[in-house]
Amino acid sequence: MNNLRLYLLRRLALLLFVTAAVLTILFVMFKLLPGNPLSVFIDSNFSEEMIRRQKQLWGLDDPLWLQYVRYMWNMLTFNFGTSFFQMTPVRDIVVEKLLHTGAMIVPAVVLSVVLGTLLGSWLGWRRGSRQEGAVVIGLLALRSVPSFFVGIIVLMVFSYNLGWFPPGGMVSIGGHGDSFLGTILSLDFLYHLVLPCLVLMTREITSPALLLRSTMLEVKGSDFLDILRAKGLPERRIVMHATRNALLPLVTDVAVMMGFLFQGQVLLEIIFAWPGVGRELVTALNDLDYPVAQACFFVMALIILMFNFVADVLYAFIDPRVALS
Amino acid sequence: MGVLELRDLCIEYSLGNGAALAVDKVSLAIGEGEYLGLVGESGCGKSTIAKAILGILPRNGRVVSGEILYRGRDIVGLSVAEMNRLRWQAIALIPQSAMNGFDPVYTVEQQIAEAIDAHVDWPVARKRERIDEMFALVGLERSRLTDYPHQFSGGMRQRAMIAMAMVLDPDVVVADEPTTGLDVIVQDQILHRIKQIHTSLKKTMLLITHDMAVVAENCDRIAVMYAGKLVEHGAHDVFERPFHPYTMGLCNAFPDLADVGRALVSIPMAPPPLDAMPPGCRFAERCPFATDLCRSEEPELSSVGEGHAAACHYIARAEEFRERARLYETWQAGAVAT
Repeated sequence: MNNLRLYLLRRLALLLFVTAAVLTILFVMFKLLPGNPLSVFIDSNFSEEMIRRQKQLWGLDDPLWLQYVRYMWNMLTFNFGTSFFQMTPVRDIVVEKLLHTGAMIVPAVVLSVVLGTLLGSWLGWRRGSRQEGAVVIGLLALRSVPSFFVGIIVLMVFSYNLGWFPPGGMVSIGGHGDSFLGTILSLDFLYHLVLPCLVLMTREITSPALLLRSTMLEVKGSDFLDILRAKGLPERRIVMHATRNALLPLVTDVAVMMGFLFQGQVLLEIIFAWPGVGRELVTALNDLDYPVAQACFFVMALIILMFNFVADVLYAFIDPRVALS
Repeated sequence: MGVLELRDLCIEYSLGNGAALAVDKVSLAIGEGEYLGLVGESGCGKSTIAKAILGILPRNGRVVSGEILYRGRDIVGLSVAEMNRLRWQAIALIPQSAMNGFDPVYTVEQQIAEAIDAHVDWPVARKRERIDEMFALVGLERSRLTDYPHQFSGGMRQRAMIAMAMVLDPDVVVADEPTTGLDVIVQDQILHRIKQIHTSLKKTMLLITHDMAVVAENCDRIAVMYAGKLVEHGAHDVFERPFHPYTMGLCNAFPDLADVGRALVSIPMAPPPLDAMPPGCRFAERCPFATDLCRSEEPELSSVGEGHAAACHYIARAEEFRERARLYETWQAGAVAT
């Protein structure tokens, strides 16, 4: 038990350290970025004095270390400032966009994991058969095709040619629900979700399927399965033991997958005009909306780190051997 | 009549391009309360027999012919449900690899309880009491029950395995190389533990090992296997007056405290591959006494004494062979000749 606590503390310390490192890198990056955040506010007709006053107002003439400390404090307290263009608190924007991205990713991941797990254990079982070979090749192909390519093809076929699904957006124009919950529970939303979710799944299903196939093969050779059989356990109990062992690597895989999906959907969100955090980041960068861009970067990195942390913790609970090593 | 009896048992493994007969017409009986040791080199089919008895042969293995009788009833080809009723309650297993015998993600207690639950409907208190009793029997502290297998040392894991095997008070216990991979001190402790269980609980037991000394020390009777065949079996007589040259080789291959200074014999070469058996006696190739007859005709098991049988054409010359088999040179010369 002590070991477990120590392990968790170590992981937590690592999480904090990496977060601080990410923030520092972001700070440096934005300092090095060509262009000036003030260019949005400064008109070419401004006098030297007015420019100086602007700098003072935004704290840009303070010493660098003070700017850094202030920046760190604000970021760590999720005080991201106000968007240059939307004139709303960045925090609200980021939260909203994250929810939108989540609304696309979570269903896709859940479906991918469930179907991928079933497919993977079937593949592990049918090891060596012709179907197995064909499916594995298919999965590898899906894995190699970039999702924006699949996205464009799917849009072309199902939206422009067949007209079955809308070409993009999260809801129909004017169809915004009152709340986020109201929106994602509407049929209109589901209708818009189908295509992007499908495209995401074509890729995300490959990882659990291939992973479970190989771990299932590994577990199938374990001696303890023989002992379980010798103990006279019914078949389903034995399969349960095998699956629980085969699922171990999947837990980490899914958590890491979730983290990466939150940041990785820039292209897909643009193709499907999905108002998510990835698209917001690109818009913010184009507009030189520094606070929004910075917050998006930070939140995406933080989400990946959090999911990695969750994966480590889950793993320690599921596999008792982890905390010890 | 034996509690467990094998009759002309043949077990085959199908391989990519054919089949290998791993066990060839083995007949063997274990009487009530008897401790039988089954010895042989690796790959001679002894573990295959253990797996067949419990019905856990790998996918490509099957009993081609013959019978495995448990108290007179043939258990080959029983349905899974029928077999499950016999498993662990009638016949329990102490497996070869205690290292990987437990599922790593459940505690030892959970896994022992699982064996109980699969067969009897005991209240929690009774289960706990029984598991405690078993841990005491094998000399493990009850506080370790909630540990995971990886928290145990190899020896402890094997003791926990024995506790699990004994938990339903099985009629027959099959121990398949129970001390493989353990250091000698722990090996000795484990074997003593098993022997103690045998004597105090009067269990019928089958010990499978490659170690002649272990059998000599522990078992009532011994059966020697070579390349899928039973070549000799009997009581302690087998050690004192072996009739099969292979048994002689094995006996002389282990050091003897009463005869310090004697050069240990090693039998040259390895057994023939299972899918390419020579026509005559399977040991002929390595036997220093082999003749043309040995290489062409397979010897049958024939009685050489009370409850003692050997499969050799030259039983009559056993006395002479025994003398020569004690010499290191005999075996080396045999290797050169063939």
